[in-house]
Amino acid sequence: MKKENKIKKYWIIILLFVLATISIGYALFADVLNIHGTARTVGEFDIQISESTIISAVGCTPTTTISSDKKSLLLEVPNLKYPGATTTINVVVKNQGNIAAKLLSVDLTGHDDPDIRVIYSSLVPGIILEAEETHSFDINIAWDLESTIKEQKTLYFEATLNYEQDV
Amino acid sequence: MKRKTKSDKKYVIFVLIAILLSFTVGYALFSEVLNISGTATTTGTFDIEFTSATPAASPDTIGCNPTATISADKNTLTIAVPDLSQPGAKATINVVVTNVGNIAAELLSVDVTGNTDPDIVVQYPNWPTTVTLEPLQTYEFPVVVSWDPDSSTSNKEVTFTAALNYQQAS
Repeated sequence: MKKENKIKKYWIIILLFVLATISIGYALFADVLNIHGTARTVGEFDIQISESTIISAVGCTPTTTISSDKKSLLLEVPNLKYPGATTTINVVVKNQGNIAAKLLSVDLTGHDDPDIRVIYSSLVPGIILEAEETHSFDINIAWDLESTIKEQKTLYFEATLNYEQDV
Repeated sequence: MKRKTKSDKKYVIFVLIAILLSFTVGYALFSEVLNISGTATTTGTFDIEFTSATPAASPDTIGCNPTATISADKNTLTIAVPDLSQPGAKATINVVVTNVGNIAAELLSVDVTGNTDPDIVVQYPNWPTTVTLEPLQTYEFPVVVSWDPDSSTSNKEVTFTAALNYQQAS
């Protein structure tokens, strides 16, 4: 009987030991997974007015100026001398970034004056510019030949080109 | 072991969602606006005017007292000869037209009325159409109104007009 009790005790101890081992083992078998990493955006979205060239000027002396950030172009025709005086300016827009861009819309003002015409050619929404691609269009400004105004007139005009990432 | 694996999965999912959100934010920022603006000014003026209209002295004007009046806008000349006293009486008005604009003009045509009466004769010059009138250049011509010497009709009145149509020289 005493021997049996001893055996029982041993078994209990062994079992307890095994149990403890398992617990410790469980504690040791824990591990933490870490995900480390870095992410950097290298995509660049940058549309610029790269060039503006006066192609022709009759009866006037126009000037063009591209801003230092290449986001704006200023055209000035201060002296349309007579009906029929006209100038044509070529503008080049370039995708300087590495993300394709789409011309979403063009908003115009001052383009419907009866005496001073401002006409944009090849400037249609939907044009897509891939990276490094260019798009060229002309702007014609003229004192309409049919105009009958006898006094000096100044027209302010504007075109806003809205580009968006092409998806 | 299972609990730890589940939380690892949650952690990975969370990181993936965070990366996806950053893409979304990045997409909204990719737009650009280019602006083209300018001014255009017409400096040319097209303006032809009557600058003077003067009754000539005798013998070009006899037997009457004509008047010539230029309107305020200088686009109309009114000649009045209210008292042709006898056949042969006549009034000569010397008219000067000036291009006061800075655009060359040419006389395209002249429309006249009242110059066919047999008793009161209105004489205009041979209008020099297609001749260019440069800026500040003048054109002078006479208008002669007379009672025909052979006429025996009195108490007659005639209204006459002449419209000079100028156009920008080509």
